[in-house]
Amino acid sequence: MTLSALPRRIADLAEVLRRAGIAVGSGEVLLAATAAESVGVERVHDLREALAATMLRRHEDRALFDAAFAAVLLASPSASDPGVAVPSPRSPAARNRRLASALSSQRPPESPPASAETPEAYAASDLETLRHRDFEQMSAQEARAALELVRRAARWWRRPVRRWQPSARGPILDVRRTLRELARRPDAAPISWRRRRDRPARLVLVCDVSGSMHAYSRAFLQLAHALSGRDRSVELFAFATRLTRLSHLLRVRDVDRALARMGTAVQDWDSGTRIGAALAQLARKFGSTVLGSNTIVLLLTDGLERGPPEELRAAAARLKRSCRDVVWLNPLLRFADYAPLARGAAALAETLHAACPAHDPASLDGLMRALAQRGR
Amino acid sequence: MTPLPQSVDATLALLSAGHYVATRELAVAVFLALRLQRALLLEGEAGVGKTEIARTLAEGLGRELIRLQCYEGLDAASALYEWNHLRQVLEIRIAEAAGERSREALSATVFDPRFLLQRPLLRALQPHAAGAPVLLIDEIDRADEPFEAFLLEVLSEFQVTVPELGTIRAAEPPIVVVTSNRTRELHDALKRRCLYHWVGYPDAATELEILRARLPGIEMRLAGQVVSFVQRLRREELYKAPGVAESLDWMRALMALGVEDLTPEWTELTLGTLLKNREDIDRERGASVERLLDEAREASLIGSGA
Repeated sequence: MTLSALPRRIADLAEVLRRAGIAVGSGEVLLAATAAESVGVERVHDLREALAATMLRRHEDRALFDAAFAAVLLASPSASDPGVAVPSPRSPAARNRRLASALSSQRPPESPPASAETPEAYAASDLETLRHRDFEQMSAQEARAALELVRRAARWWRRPVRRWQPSARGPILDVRRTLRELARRPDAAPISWRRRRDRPARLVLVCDVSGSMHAYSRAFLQLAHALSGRDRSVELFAFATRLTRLSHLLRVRDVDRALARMGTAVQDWDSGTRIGAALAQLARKFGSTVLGSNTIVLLLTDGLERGPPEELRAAAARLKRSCRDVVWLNPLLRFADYAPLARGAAALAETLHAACPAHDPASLDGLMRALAQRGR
Repeated sequence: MTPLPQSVDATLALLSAGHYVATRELAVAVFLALRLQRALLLEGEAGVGKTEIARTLAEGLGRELIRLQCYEGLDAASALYEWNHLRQVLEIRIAEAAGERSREALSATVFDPRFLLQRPLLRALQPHAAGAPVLLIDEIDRADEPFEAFLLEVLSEFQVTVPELGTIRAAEPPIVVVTSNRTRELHDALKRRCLYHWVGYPDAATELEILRARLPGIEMRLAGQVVSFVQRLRREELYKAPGVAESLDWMRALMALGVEDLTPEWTELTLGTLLKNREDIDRERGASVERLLDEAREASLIGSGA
């Protein structure tokens, strides 16, 4: 490969990465081209690192990047097709489904059609009736309209902007205010004190996405998306048998697109549930970083566990110790005579004490309202 | 002043001269950060040597190292500058006692650079005799988001405005190294200003090299056992896997105790230097340590035989 052919190849690489869902802006492409020029093309390894350092922003995208790099920059260019080189199905790159669909020039059907189902068609009074409709009972159209209610629930949550608040007894002298008062009333100005505002809690949402939970987990993911728009510290995890961190996908602006991307990211979507294993993984892998004394974990699950209940009990207890509180949201509470008798549910009920309902917009609203009061 | 390295190889040499064992991947990222004058964002687990890179760079290039340790609640005032209010008030009283009454004269004395408490970011923008300093912004993920936005502003312009003094602009932008333990995702806008590099755990050969570079005169056989034990320990299901910092600590501990050969007893007694979590220690103590140790011994025997 020659240096002159490089900018073209880099642009192709950026295009492939974009199709695979990695945002690469034109600024990064320019920077990558400059970086490539700086390291030269003699050592492919250096070139790859230079492009990775300039085009990537997440460690998780690295494997995909390496495959795309191999496919686009190491493949011999065919004379007839000056564009993206499409590897043969046997090439290692094609083994990655996400990359394969990105390399074939067809765009994946990412966003669901936002056709005639306009939520605006719902009048305020109709929305009111949806407040107490079970998510599972909603038609597709109603579910879209209910999104507005979920967003409203999220609006209860907000992080205060100010870090200090006035306080009668200190402990920190509020110099600015004292001097201001002094200028106003030189003889009788009081000394002003301030103290650090209590740190607002950070929310970590953990969502069971196993088959039985479908309608509720969808609403919960929408809630996470709406919350993240108000408070960027919100974290999101999903699990069925394994735990997946989805926080970065909350940044995808469009909620449908975000949910579609989450669907691809969670490999074991709609399979059996291993709550204990997932919670243990959460505490183990993220206990010292994401969780902390100021974190409130919202755990959405029906407690139908396939793993051993002792494991779940130990994991829940451990999780509870590594954060401020774990709130269990159980959509099964929609049944008036429900009691946590299933072994998994019993284990959760025993360790986490209270459970909150989460089966309709009204219950999410109540939850967020309560949290907003407690979380600061 | 040492000139900046002109190639990846030169960068690698610079880092290894400072006893930093870097992978070639890291050297490429460092070289580009210096060449393109971009901030270098290093992400990775705790204890893999992210902070050390900045220190090595500063030392190797003969620049001053200015460190800004981030924490929750860090605000612009403690990162940039503050006026020394007490001294200002004192100055007013002195001036008054001397009979000074004019407001202009008073404010001119009070807002003097003498009363400016310079915090790391402002210091990094000031001219330095030895060339632009290395600015280490450590654990940016612990600061909160308003601060991140503020930092973005400083990093894109390399200038700040102190209302009473005017705009201070860096003649030569500092070499910026930002580290994150990934307790939260950083804002994309900030990442876009930086070159990104993930610092992972080193492989066995590299880790052995690190021990040798950092602890001169160590017993290589013991070091080999230590490295293969730690490498295996990292594969266990732990709450907190030991980083390179922990390997170094452990090696130092074993040397201080005069251990020549890694036995299960010594390992268990010193496990606290590797694992900092009761659950992890309980889990590994006993059978698990013996198993890992057997594997490690076998591996290092094969390694030394080759």
